[in-house]
Amino acid sequence: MADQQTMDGDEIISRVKQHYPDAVVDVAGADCSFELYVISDAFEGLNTLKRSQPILALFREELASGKLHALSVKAKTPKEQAGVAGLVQIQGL
Amino acid sequence: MRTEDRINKQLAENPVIIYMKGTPEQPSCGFSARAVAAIRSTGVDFAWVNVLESPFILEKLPSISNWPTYPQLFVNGEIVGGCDIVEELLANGELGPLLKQAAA
Repeated sequence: MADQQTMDGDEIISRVKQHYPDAVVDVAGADCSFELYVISDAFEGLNTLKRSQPILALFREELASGKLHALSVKAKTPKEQAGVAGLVQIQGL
Repeated sequence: MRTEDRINKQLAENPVIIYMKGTPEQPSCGFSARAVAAIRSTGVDFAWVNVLESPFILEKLPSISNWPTYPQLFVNGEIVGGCDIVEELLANGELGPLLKQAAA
């Protein structure tokens, strides 16, 4: 019953993976409010808006119906993600 | 007036406009509250539409903006994004200049 009314994290991950097969995808949250991390080369050269739009479009129906209330997207390239990790290392020295 | 024409008129007449759930004084959603707080912190005047009281706009706007959720901030008729993007621009120091040049 419950899973007909809300999405679960695995459903979200598998849908994103269908469209971004090479991406690292992780999800946090529950019920109808989720945060989504997607790391893919597909985002190279795109700003946050242009990265978010195609991902959110995958969930247009659920977002319109309220099955999904909020989906906060963090979309990074592997290079950007490595940059973040590098910064942590430098601070640790 | 067709809903699309209403939206286009609002976008044409208001260089900074947010489509939100609730009002700036009484937001009905935490994301709308956060986006308004970020915009307010720039000191720039902005227009707003409560989509909960405009169900035709609530339904139509996502297909125009290619953005499925609320809030949605528009500057000079162009979608900027939702709560996360507005907060990101504020953190980068880009939000104030963007809104100020639009409102000028």
